[in-house]
Amino acid sequence: MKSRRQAIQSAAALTLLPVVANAQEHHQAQAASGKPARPYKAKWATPAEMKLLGEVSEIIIPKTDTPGAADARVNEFIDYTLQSDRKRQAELRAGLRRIAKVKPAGRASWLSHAAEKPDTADGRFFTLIKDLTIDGYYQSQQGLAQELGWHGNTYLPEFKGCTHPEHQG
Amino acid sequence: MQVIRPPQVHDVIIIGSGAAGGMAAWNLTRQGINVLMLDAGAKFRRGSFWTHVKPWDWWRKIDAGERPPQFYVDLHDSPYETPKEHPFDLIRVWGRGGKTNVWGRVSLRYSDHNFEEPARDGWEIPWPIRYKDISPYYDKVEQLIGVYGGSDDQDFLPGSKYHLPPPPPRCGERLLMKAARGIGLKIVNGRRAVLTREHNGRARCHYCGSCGRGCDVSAFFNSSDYLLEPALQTGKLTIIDNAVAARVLNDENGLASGVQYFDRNTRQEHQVKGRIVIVAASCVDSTRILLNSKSRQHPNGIGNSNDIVGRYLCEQVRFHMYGFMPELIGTATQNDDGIGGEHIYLPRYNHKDGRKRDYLRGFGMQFWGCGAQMNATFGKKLPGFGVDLKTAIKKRYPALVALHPYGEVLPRRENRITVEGTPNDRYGVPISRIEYTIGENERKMIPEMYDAAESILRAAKAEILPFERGWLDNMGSAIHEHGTVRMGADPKRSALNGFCQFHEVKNLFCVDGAAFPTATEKNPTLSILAVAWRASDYLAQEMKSGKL
Repeated sequence: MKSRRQAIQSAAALTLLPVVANAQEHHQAQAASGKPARPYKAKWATPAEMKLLGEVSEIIIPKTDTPGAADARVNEFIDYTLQSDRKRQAELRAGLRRIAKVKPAGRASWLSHAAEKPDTADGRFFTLIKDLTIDGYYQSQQGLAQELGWHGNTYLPEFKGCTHPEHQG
Repeated sequence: MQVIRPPQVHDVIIIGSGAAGGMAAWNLTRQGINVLMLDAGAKFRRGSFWTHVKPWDWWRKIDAGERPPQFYVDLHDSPYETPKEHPFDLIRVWGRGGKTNVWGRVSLRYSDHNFEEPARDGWEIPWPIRYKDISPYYDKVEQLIGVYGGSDDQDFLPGSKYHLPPPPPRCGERLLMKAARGIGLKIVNGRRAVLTREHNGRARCHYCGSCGRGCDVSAFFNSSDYLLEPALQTGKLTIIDNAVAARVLNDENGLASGVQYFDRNTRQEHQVKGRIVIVAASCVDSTRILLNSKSRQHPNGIGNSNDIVGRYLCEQVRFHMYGFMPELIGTATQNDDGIGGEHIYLPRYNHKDGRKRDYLRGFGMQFWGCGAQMNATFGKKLPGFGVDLKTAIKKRYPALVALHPYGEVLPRRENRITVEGTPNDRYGVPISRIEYTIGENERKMIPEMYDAAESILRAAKAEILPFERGWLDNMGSAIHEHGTVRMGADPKRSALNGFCQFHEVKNLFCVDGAAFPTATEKNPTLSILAVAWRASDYLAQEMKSGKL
């Protein structure tokens, strides 16, 4: 004889099929909502600053056999993220002004020096733009899906967890 | 503006629609009692949740003028203050179901040790109830809402008999379990109120990993779908949306007689009448309402002649530690989403190793993100930039593990919520001031929490991401506030009896986390549900027998 609990569960299984199907459709509807990307309008950075942000972020995470920060338009993420943070806008802007004076070929070495002096203005600028580049790039489709191979946040009928025999026991 | 005062006298008025208020409403209405609920917000529409919006679309959608559901209370809408040097994060959700829309869902029963310790160690007052009192209610709650977990009970983690199947551990979690076992620590299956199979007619989880954004199929417990919808179906429940409760009103004899609230949109003042009032607005807001409920009969706030309400605020201390498992560095990325959050838990163990400690109570450990996440924030702590950094991040991405201990903070008299001399909110009601710091006991426990996390990572031969020893997450960030309207047997030292009924005001109850005299090392929602069920059973009984 079925227990009351089993009876409830099997009844639930029947009534719930449509709900589960809806979840799948709902997922597809949300995932497919990607309208054609409209051009991004900068909130505070000037066109010259946007260009330079793109170049510096590309030095932090360059294109290899996978896209780099410039392909992922990390400069747009940075402008968007700092839109109501005047303090960090000013810090970033001042740093960009300093690095703009360095010839493009010398910028990587300028950043290396900056990275070694975390307590200086240059060092803080390096940390700021590195952190923002990492946030922007690794949340972009190029960085997260193409570079890191993430294909999550999706509908799974089952979650298997770790299936490697060598990790058990 | 004229105050709106409908003449109707309700059986019971409940302030708040989260786990506590939802449980009370569900349990009272099914016993035929009429309930009026005041909800400070409105219903969140599941169909509008952004559960499957990809990280790269998220901010671009907002930039294009779209808005995800606004779960969290805007501080302009409802401010609070703290001393400048002691900030406190107060996270609140106003709206149908409250924080259960977005909660962490970790569902750990308090053990007999948790209930008995304060009586044993003398800090600060004993719980008036024990595990045996509450365990039948844990049983009922788990069967009602559905909680997954293993059958791997521990001294500090009892009661696995009604669990749904637990989700299997991810690779990093399996390796952590193995490593911990090597140093004598037992990591068990996690326990959460997530449906790993269909349960009581509700859909099961589809492992999208986004529980923190709400569930679009309601596969985890939330008060709105699991408690309030069935309660509404009885025809006994009325919910007023956007009703921001300000004060509990009382009659000449000092008994509760109703609630004053303000409409969140129009700011119109209303006063509703009830025979019984249940406060369940979550710890800090409940406390504020009670302290603001001043009258000739209750000059210090309703039910507070003993100056207990607002004091003994307690919570938990926590921090994060990250590492990379050597077996997983450089391996192929998998879909590690599973249930949003970790699938494992390390129950409190510090009573077992025979060591004498110079602090009271203890900590348990959660693990948070494991494996492929929706970002690579850890990369900020890796040195350098360029191709080297990009390669270093890629190699470590599948190998990430996180350790996240929660330690109990003792209730102390000086940790408190007050409303004296604070500014008014937009409705003219004094806001809360939260004064909260950790003490000597926590300062002695925290190094051991660090040692525990580090020793597990070392046993796993993990590469440990640089951390600052002693760093703590913001006070309040555990969102497990307790203690300010505590229950106890001694009416001089507590506000409520073991049934959440005010010692001084027999028709007034407080059934949320504020009623707990200790914070424990655990997540409280399961216990709040059990305590609120028990309290509302008692209330229904008292009403039926004519005592209330």
